[in-house]
Amino acid sequence: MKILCIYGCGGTGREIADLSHRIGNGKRSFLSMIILPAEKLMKLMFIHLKKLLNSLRRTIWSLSLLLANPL
Amino acid sequence: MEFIVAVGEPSIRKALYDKLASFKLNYIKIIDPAFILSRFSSVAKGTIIHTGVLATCNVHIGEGCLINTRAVIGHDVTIGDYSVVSPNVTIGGNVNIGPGCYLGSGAIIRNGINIGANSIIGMGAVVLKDVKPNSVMVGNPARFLRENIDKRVFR
Repeated sequence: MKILCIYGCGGTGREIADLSHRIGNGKRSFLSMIILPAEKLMKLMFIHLKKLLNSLRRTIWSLSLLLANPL
Repeated sequence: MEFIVAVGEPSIRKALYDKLASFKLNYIKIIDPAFILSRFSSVAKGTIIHTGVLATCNVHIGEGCLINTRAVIGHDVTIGDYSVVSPNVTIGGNVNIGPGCYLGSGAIIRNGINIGANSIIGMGAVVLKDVKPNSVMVGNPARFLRENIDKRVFR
């Protein structure tokens, strides 16, 4: 078993992972590992942080509404 | 452990190879099993050759290149390091492609043409004349659009 590190998680990365597995059907067997580039990771983290903050803001807003107008 | 850079942008590919050079990684070439390489041809390390690529004799593909599906490469062609050949590109005989070039989908390069380093050939462009380094060429017949100052294909 060989480990193949693929730097890049976009279309090209996934294409290469697929190709390496198809080659693996023959003589070599591959375990592909896609490495997430740093800038992509930052971007993802930022998006998720934004999502997290957004949901937190919504929760606080609904809570404040609930507290202001109790049932 | 084997390593390969899978980024479509030639300038980023080059930058990554330069950055990772000190780690002395074991770069491999990934070639589709259906691709038949002539014994007079060569493919350098870090190169990826996809399904349906056809290359005839005396074809030399440099380091870290990406040759995409159904590209047709004629005789005596040299493709420089870190260049990207998109799907359905047709390259005639005796063509010399410099390092860091990007050939868009369906581009056609006439035989005997020299394409300078870091040039971009647009989708479906038909290149009939030599291309200067750092040029962006588009259309049929291909005309000079602008200089590739920042050496980036995708923005």
